[in-house]
Amino acid sequence: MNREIELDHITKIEGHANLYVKVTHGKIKKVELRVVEGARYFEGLLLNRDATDAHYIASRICGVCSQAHVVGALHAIEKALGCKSTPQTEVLRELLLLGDILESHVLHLYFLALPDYYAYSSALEFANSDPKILRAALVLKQTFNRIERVLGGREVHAVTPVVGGFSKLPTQEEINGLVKDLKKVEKMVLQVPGLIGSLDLPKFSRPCEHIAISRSNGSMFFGDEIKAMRNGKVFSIEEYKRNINEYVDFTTTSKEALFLGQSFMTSALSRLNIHYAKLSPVAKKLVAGSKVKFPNDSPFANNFAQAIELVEFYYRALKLLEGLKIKQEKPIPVKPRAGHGVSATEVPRGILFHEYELNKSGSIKKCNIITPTSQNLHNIEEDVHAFLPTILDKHEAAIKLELEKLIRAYDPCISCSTHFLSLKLDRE
Amino acid sequence: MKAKPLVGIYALTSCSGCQVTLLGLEEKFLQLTEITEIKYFPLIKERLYDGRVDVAFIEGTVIRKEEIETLRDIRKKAKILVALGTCATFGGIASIRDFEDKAKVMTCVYPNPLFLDSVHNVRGLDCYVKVDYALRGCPIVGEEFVRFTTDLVLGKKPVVVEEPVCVECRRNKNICFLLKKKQCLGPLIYGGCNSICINEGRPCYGCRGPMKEANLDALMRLFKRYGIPFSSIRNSLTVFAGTSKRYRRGVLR
Repeated sequence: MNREIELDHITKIEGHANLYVKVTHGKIKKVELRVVEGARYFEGLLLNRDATDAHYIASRICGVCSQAHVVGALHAIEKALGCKSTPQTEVLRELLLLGDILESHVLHLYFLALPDYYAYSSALEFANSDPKILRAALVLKQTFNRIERVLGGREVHAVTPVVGGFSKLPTQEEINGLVKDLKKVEKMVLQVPGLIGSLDLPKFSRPCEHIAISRSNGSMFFGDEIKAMRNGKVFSIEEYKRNINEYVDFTTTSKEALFLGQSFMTSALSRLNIHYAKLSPVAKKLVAGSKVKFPNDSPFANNFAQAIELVEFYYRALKLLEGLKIKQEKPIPVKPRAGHGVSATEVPRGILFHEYELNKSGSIKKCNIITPTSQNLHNIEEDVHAFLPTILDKHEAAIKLELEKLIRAYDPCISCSTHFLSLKLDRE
Repeated sequence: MKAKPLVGIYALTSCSGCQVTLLGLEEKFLQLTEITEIKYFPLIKERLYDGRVDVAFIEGTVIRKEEIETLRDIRKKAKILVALGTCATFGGIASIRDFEDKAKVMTCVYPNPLFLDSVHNVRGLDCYVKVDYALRGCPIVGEEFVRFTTDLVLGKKPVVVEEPVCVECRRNKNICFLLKKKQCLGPLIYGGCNSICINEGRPCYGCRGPMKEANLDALMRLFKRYGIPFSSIRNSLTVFAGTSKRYRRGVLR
């Protein structure tokens, strides 16, 4: 049987992507996830710009995870400029990132992934069938948005984070307000893993490599070492390029990446696969009470991993906020200088790398940004390859839905993955 | 306008930040879904609808040539077309590349067929089709969207702020960056953002684009007097709306 399956402009993901599959005599000949978002050349846009503007421009890579790019860029730039930020700044940055991850997970779980399992066209349909679910989604989103708004000035493309600190600090009252808001939604947060864990997920698993930040300075999100689960290799983030090879596939506008020549995954699932033992007792109990176990080889388990992270990071945010006594401090002044800095950040969809090289006037000479989605693209294709034979006997529409579920489970962020500059820069 | 106008929320190449801002309206967004019928919104909804809409909001702008066709198609289907955010209005952040060395870009272009698919200059949607309204900002201001949409539903002509950022900034009692001899684009730029950046301790970067009456020359003279280097002025003018004709004279020397 020969057939071609095309998913044109897949919905409920961030950005524009198509999937093309060719099957000849029941054998899968070709799987291509084509990113059709236009290339915006972010690494090119950043060239010759002042180092202190990098995070502001990089933020525009993605409106879903803008705080992640802000924090990642600031850390790398500060390394290059030899600027060490204060402990308070680092706590506030982590909170900003937590707000982003929590909000992004809610957006993905409720608005992008969940409708598939209820056969709804969109989450708005919950308004009629199960208003409680829609209500929970909105209340949670609102609460986590508020963290970003209080710390960053607004929820998308934050204003206050700058090199050396914050242009404006939140007041202690605002912080106390956030603590109060967070406490109100505790019950709602604890219910999320139950809801996501009860979904009837496709039975599919494929062992693959997972990577996550394994050692960090202070916060678990800002790393200096990365670990691969299967291979066991641990490497410093300065060596990221030697381990993670980005390449250009001419069928898409996105770069893809391999870890030591293999496809791999970086995601909430990867973080739990590697750090399961370090979870808080509350989160562990929720896992124990579900059908999903970690480590887990099914990409569909990424949804549940996000739900568990929602609980884990919710308590982390609450703890940090409760411990905050805001000290008035100004951003640390920086002097332009030549330098080089790499950062790795755990963001909603996995590890985000930012690397900058500055010339002595402090402007950007070279930069490289690798987003989680571009690292995951190859793995998604391989999953489609392995998953498709198990569903090939279904109707066309059912096959498409199952494939969409798989792709959405990765929570791909297409704008993030289409930012590459030029072949010339790659060869350097 | 009839009782429940049909609305489509479309996106060309962009970061989705404006659409995320819409979802960030939460309860208010739900209320909007009650007074309008959102037929098309692929970020959160399957694409089951391909028909006409009363209002089309478009985030992002044309980067790939095939997006021109997509845009024209949306224009044909829509009674009112609204540019959503700075990319759709002026080209936005991606237009930075128009001010880089074109020859260098071309040498990168040749070996990669994908680059040939890109448009030469990144412009706003009005370069290709008639745009009825523009909601500026990177990202858009959620409250402005609510006000705008409600006006449309009520059959009122939507009011778009036609004052510079400085007016709102003064109202918010901020200390003027220009008085501190620092670079700020406030006097040139369309307000409507409630001077959010200055409220938060940062100068205006001009994300909403230059006003019709913007006196670029006067501000440039002031910057020069303050000893701000041209490279720094050029950088800030080109972050968001570099391709706007009103900026060109200031940017291209």
